[in-house]
Amino acid sequence: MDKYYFIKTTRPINFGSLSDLFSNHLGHQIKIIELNSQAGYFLASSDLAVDLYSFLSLISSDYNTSLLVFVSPKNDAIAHLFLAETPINQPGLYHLSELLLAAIVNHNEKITVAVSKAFKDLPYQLFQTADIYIQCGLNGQLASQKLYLHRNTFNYRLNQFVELTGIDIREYWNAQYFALIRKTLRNK
Amino acid sequence: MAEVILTGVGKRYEGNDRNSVTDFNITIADKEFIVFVGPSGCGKSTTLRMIAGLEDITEGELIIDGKVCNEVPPKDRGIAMVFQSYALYPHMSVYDNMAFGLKIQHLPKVEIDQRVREAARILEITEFLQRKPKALSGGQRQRVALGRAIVRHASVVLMDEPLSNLDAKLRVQMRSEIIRLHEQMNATTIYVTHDQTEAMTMATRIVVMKDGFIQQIGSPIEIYHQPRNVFVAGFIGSPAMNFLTAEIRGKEMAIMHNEIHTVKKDLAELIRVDGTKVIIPGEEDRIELSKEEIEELAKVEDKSDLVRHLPASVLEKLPTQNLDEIVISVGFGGKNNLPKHIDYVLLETIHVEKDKASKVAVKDNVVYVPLDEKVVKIPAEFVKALAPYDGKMVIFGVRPEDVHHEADGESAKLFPDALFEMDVDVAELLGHEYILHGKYSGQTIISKVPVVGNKDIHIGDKVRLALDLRKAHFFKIDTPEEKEAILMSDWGLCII
Repeated sequence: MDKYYFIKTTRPINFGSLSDLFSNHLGHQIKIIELNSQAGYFLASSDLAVDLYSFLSLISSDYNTSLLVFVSPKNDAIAHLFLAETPINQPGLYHLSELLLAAIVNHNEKITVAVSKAFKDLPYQLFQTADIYIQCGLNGQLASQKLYLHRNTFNYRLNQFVELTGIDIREYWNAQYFALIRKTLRNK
Repeated sequence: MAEVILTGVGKRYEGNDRNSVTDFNITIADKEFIVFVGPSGCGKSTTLRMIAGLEDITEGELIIDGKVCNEVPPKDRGIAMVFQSYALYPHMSVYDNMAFGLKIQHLPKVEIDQRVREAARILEITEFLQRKPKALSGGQRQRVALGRAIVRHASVVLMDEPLSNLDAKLRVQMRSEIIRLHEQMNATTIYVTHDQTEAMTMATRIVVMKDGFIQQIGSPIEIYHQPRNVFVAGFIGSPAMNFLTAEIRGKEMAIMHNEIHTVKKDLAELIRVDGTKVIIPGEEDRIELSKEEIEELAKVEDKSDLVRHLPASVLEKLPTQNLDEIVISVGFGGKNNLPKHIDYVLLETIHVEKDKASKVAVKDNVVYVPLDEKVVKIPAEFVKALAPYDGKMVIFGVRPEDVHHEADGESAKLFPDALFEMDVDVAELLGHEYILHGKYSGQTIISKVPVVGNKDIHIGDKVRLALDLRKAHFFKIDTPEEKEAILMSDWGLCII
């Protein structure tokens, strides 16, 4: 599964050289879209996150800058808001759920309100399906029972949720992100 | 080569209401091996990153080799950095991993080749240059990581916990290699670690940090023997220094019993008052109070202070469990059980030494009774420095290695009153020595004693230990933040 990797550096960085580094590592072309001299993003396999975690210190040392990288399921306004706000200061590699957790802990209203709004217009039954699915620990069989739905109907609704939100909560980090969003919505 | 000076350096991240690093001042001499040590989150890595230029400096000045470097780009600071993770680019050979940083700097190929081969020679990894990282052992990978720093020909080398990911055996080996490398490279080295053993064995000077503040700067021997405060004393040394609460009494100190005897008010076991007689449940005897005594008690306005007004006759008359103890009764009673002319009376029973009765305190229906304390003579050389603390509580510190076995050393002879018998709670055998955990005057104490012959020490055994009071440390107890050393122990007095 591909994901968006957003990069923020403390010093200007040569994104072209960094693109080559990632391309050579992955064995296929990676193009980092430069937002400014200290921020950019690219699309790559979610597997890269594991390697990137250990790479960051090397990149820091070779490119003379600290890097904060976060992995997002989507390239949308929310991801860009996280890039602008970066609720975590410590350089490193993070998933969106970790940044959201930091935003909640630090009472970053800008982020929590924006994240909540993104789910405001979602049909209730889809939200409920995802909500129960999370409550059932990602157990689809159990969730469909709790919702009194046929398994196929449950799957259909879950797919609709994924399609509309762009967040596949069947995947661990996305599920964690949605679990936090549920908490945020309850507090609003 | 370079001298590094940090003057009032601080770091505050955007959105945070307090600094991650505050007022960091140090002058690091050329070719010095400085170690920043402290617990996680103390700001040591942040300081290192500020020196490297990976983080902006919020306040203060960073001078490297006589030049203010606050705004100098990292690549122009003449700094190389080695990180905790010994990860290497997996798709590159050892050679390319070492050369990559130089390629980015657009150095000529010939020079890159020369530097890589020179570093490989120093690190004895020439034969692995064409291998990929997956074909290397952990130690070899860490050498390559060091090689990446060496090829930069930096005048300042920064190492951020470079050995944390290695196993214990390899860590010891790499430790000596880094020291050897430092000698060869002649670079000023700043090394960050949370491992005090690394700090003690490698540093020319140690900087101990906590919560973004420098706690103490000094050579390993100074830090060990003359810790400035409780934090430094507890952080450096393994096992950590024992801290005991003590009261200075002239030329003696009383090591207080920390186990507080508490008795909660239990209305089911009220001592009834019948006329002028106090009836203690389970006791056949009735202790008689005179009418005057009861009336005296009735006059006490502060009920929490009631116990201090116990008539001596009660203390004397109440039944004793043994010769050292006396049973006193404290508490407040319901009016129904009492004669009309008194409002309250003693209710609960606790056991306390006769001479401690005046120190009993009552708070929130709990009775606090200080238990037995050990009184020991303070070595003559410390008495003067401790004089201002006469009658006050202090923290008395003694390292586990200064709590000797009775038969070992002269402590027992020099300080016979600091000789004690300890029930062993935990006995850790390290081969040549035991680390024994137990209690002294009710306070936890750890002792490091050598193994004598083949004699095993087991949990529950009794061992006779002696405190070497010549190596005592004393700290102020005033507030948690100000547990400063009153005097430095064994290598001469140093009053702060």
